[in-house]
Amino acid sequence: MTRDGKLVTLNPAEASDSLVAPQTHELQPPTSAWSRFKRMVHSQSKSVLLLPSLLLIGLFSYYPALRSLIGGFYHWNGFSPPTWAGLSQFKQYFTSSMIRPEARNLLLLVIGSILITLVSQFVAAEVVSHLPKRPSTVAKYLLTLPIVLPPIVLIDVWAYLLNPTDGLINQLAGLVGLPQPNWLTNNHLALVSILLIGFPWVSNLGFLIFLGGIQNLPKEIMEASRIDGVGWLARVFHVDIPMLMPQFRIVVVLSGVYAVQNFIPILLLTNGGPGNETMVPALDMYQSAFQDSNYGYGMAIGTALFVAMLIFTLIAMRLLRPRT
Amino acid sequence: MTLATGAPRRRNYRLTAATIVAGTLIVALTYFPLIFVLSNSLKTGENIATGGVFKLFTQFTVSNYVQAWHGVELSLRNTVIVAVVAIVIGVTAAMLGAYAFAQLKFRGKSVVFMAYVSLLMIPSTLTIIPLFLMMKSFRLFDSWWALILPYAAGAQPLLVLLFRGFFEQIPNELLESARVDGAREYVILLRIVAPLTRPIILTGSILMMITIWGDYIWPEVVLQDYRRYTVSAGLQQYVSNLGISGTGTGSVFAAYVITMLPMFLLVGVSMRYFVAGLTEGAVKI
Repeated sequence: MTRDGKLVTLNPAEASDSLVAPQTHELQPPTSAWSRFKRMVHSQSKSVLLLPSLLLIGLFSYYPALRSLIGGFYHWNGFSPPTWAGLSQFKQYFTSSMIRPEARNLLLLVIGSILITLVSQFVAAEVVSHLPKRPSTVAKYLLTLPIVLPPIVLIDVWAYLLNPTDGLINQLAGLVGLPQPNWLTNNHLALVSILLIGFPWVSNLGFLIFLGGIQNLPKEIMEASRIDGVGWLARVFHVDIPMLMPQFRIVVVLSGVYAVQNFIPILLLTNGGPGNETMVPALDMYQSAFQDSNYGYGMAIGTALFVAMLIFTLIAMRLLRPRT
Repeated sequence: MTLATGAPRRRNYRLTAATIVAGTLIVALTYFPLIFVLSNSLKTGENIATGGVFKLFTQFTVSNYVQAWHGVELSLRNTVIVAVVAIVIGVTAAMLGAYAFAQLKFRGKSVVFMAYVSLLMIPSTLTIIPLFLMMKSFRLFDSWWALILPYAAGAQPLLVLLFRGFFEQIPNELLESARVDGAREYVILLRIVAPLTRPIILTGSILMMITIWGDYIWPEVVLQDYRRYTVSAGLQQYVSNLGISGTGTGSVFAAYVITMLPMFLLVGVSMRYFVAGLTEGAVKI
């Protein structure tokens, strides 16, 4: 701190001299109130660097989050002034006929997409890490590249592939004599179809997280298990997976949180249907606010969802805690 | 040793062959929808409807692209403007913030840092309603600022964490000697820190670009005039106007290709930095 204060009293010309003759400055420490004030401002000015970033997250992240928490306790249609609702909107949501299908679908989607993500991305990372050096790099780049795909394109293309009459999936099914269902309008298949989007689900951050983890495993352990003649499958299960627990934890939380909030495929492909077979809380929240102008109710659902997500994260973190 | 090498080596060879097959399969499955889109974008509508899905690349017509370009050109241009402004604001703010976290000491640092980490847990979807209401009361509704500012803010937690990990690695003596020479902190950041960490700054910018490029719901919510739409919302507008089945089909697929291509090129060119930045960043966070 004192060093910073001293710099204020130097002008640039002196500063460059300071290496040559530092003693001269030691002899004239700033003593007046004014220079002490300047020194204080300067030492504070370093944390001023944080200000733009803090201002951004304060205004556009924390303030809306806070407003959302408060908003659930008010009736509001966006025009007339909000009126106090207390817990009534939360009660209304938890006793509505939507809560059962929504909770069930959300649970299935979260569990389904976590399993899908873990298996596909971990397997892909293992495969890529076992490839010879050059093909491994090429495969890594090729599998990373589709991260840039706009989700909307993926959703549209999958809607087209799942098309009951001339979609690729049903044409393939027809070739091998399997039934050709109406994927997105069938009661039992609509939710599965939503999970199917993005198959083989590899191109994502999780793949890179796993790959980075596998490639950074200690060389001695790899060497030891090779000399001991441990088969690759045994190595994956007894060495890789236990040692990659931190990575599994990150990917579980990331994909779980993503599954909770990602209602766009449902909005565009089934809009919650058929019936309520694909309805999820996030879509209910969106529809309440932007179709029914019931902003207060929407924010109440949002708050409930946030609490659910927080509980999920804490449980996941605890269950996958590294054992020491 | 010499006795033992024969058997394991043969097994390794088999394993390598198996991984090459599996790897090829994974890559092929990942890319098949894209190949399919590319093939259909070069066919006329009737040909797509009658040709069957397995006849790839049987026709090459560029007329779809001419039509699709007119459909999405405006939204592409809008996206570039919004993204450039948002990235300049977001990356600059994150660099300053990350530098403060990495290299400076101040009171309450760990508390403020937790404020960033916990933001990673609040998904943007849950704040769209209050953010929408806020934009209305700020009179930013239906303007690009309603996109730019939340995008710049939304990127802060991840970028600050990502940048901090890299800024911390810069040897302190380097910065100290600059300070002794009288350099201000922002000069040090600009002249010393930024050039040394260019790959991660590039990665951060690309991450923001991917988010902005792929965001469909927020432009749809906060913009009324579809001529201001960015690319994902603009694309969906174009697709739902034409319908994916019918004579317009070819140009819908061409529109997909047009909207994917710039991002593929951008990330393809900077792939090495991007992957290194992401994997190293993931380890550091």
